[in-house]
Amino acid sequence: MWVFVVCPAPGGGRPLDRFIAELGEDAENNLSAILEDLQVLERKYWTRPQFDVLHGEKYRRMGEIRFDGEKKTYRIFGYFGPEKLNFTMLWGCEKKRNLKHEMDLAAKRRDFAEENKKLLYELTFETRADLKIVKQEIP
Amino acid sequence: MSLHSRRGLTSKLSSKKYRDAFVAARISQTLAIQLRVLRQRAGLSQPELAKELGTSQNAVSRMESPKYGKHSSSTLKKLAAYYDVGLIIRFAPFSEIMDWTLGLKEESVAVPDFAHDRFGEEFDSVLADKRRAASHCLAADEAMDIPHSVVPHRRFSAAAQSGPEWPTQSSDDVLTRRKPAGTAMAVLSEHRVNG
Repeated sequence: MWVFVVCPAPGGGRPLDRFIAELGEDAENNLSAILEDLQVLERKYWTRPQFDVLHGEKYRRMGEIRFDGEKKTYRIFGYFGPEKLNFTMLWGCEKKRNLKHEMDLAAKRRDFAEENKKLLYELTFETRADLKIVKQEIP
Repeated sequence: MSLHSRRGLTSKLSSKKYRDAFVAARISQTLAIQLRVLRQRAGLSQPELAKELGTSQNAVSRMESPKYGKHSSSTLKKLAAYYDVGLIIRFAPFSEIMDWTLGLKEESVAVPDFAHDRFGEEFDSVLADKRRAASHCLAADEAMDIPHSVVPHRRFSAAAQSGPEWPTQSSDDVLTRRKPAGTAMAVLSEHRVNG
């Protein structure tokens, strides 16, 4: 069984948690359903359209999880590692255009994750409610 | 490790909008992934499956897209029969769907066909009974001196012997399917073929 791990920002923020928290119900559930299924599948079944590998030496071991919701298309970039059966999520974004900048950012986060394994934490959808409350409380 | 806790998911499901999205996502996403994995596991490309089903590659691609969401029950039944897997289409309480979601296993997504399903000891004894019954039929044939060439026996198809990980032949009889060597079904089939 795969474990989805999240890499925080070098400054300590949790941009991927925020990204997931801000998704609409459709997008969040589509992402959740895809991850639940991929979690129990062998690597060879991680293929398009739900997943695709990123090509090029700069993006080694990296891939993207693809999902939709509320008429928008999203990508979460991640990489296989640092441990066996880990997929570490690095950066999430809406797909509006060429995502080279986001892919490069994710590649940097992969290097950061490799050097700071102790900072990685397991993905959960539980933080959504907390983040929403925080958002409501702060004007 | 589950992505949701039971408590957290229950809390989210208290929203009607979330419940609707929850059900829709589990149907569209899981169905798309299952259809793709079933095809890949059978060693078929989209054009090859299209040919088997008498449809177009575009239609197969559409069915495997999570955005499609218009699968008819007759198409799903046809695919279930083709892959020899079970199919459940029914309404269910949210608590049941939640249990299913939180307890997903590999075979829940990469569904094994009947020949590779795990029924346990009970199934083995049923197979043994079938084997004994078939042996009696063969003995009766021989006692009446009926040549084996006129006895309708079951053969392995070339595709099933050298084919993909799973048998892809459409059939209503598990005895025609390839089984790992040494299983009751393989022994029975070989016995009938070889006389």
